[in-house]
Amino acid sequence: MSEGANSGGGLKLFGFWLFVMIPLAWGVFETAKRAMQLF
Amino acid sequence: MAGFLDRSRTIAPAGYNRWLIPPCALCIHLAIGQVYAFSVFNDPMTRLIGISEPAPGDWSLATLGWIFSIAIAVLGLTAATAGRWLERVGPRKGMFVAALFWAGGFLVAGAGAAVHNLWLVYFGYGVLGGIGLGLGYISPVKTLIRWFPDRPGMATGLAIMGFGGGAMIGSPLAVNLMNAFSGPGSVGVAATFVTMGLIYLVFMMVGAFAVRVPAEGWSPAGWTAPAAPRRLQTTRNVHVDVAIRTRAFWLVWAVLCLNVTAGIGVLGQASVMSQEMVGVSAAAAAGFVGLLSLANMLGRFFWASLSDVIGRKATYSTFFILGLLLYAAVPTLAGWGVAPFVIAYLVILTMYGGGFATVPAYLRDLFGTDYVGAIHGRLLTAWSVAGVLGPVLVNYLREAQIASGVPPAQAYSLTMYVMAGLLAVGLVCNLAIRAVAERNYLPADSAPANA
Repeated sequence: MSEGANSGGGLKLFGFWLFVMIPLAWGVFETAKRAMQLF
Repeated sequence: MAGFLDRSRTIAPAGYNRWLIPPCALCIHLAIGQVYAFSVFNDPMTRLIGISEPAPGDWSLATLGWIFSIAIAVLGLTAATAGRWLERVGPRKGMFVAALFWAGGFLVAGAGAAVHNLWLVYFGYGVLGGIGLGLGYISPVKTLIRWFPDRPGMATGLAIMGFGGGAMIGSPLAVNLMNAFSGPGSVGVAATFVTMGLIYLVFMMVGAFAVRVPAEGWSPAGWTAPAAPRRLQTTRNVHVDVAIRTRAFWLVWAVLCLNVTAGIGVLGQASVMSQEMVGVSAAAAAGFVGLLSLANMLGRFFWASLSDVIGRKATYSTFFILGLLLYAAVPTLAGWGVAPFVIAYLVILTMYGGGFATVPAYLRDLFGTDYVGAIHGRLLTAWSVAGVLGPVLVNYLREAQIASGVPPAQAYSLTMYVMAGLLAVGLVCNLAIRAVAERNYLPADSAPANA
């Protein structure tokens, strides 16, 4: 993550990734719950 | 607003953190990936009048099936025709317009559901939404490749992984919203469409406004383009109009089409197939479909990232050889029990997703960066063809087998062998790919495409 990462702000970077990863994680969790029905 | 959307306003300042770009692409792909979860609306939309059960005048499942088909067809047409425009205007305007079409499609479809006008739903979700899909799918690809010249596979794999993940968000989101909005007089579809349209509009606009393109001549700190690039990896550029007349383009087209055909047919029939081949319950079959979705999504990131290390040609050859062996083994593995059957399909589905995610980097290697967005858009017609070919092959072969007296548990064996055959053809196409002829490259001093 280091190359070119000398501005933009660590908090901004973390916040933006969190913004997209929270819905994705929720979707994966819901799908994984459904997948558990296989076992 | 127009000024703010201009490409010149999106050029990143020196020292800009390139890791802010993949989330921009994910904002778009996580939203438009909802299209693969559209089927959650099918059953409620057959009860818009009858509410608890279909009533006279309610729409049939067959007529509703066209909504998804129109959206995918328009996606292909838009990606194939709008690539040049996207190259010119840059990613922010492209993503902005994609958001307006995608969200607008939901709002118009919501109006169609509210007044029970199916044509309005076709036009809204199918046509407007389909345009948003096509623009959104290809908008961030070139930008990611320019920001990550050292890892183009990983960068585009991340975005295209979002397309796979979008369905995982879209499905439970729609179900929860319909549960919240439904009541004695409504199944909640219209309000759900409107709400999802507004949510996606905000989410996509965040990506559109945050996206930046690198300044001309920018490269990652400490990285220089290799003086002697790998075989099949050019540092020059081929114009989109020339690229689509090359043998290499059509071989990559065939590679994508055959890889997708083999996967998409299975994906559509996974529930029934698992019940008939290994005898799992309907609930377990739903779980199997969920697992396949996860494999499809994770494969996009894994294989595209791996292709940066082992090369695109080797990655696709792995898909075809491993896929061929697994498809040919599935009829035998099904006899060994559920676990070998499930594991084989999980690996197959990672390679289905990987095929989508690795192809932009393959095009970059062969045709350069300048027109890769537009070339990728034209290539996506292979997806449209495979979207018809795969399900038709699986359904037709299964029905033909059952009609000839083969028990349902064995009715897929022939299909699996045909799929293995398709992958063998794909392997030959992949191995035949060579660098484009010298005359096809643009002169080194020609003006690059803007975006």
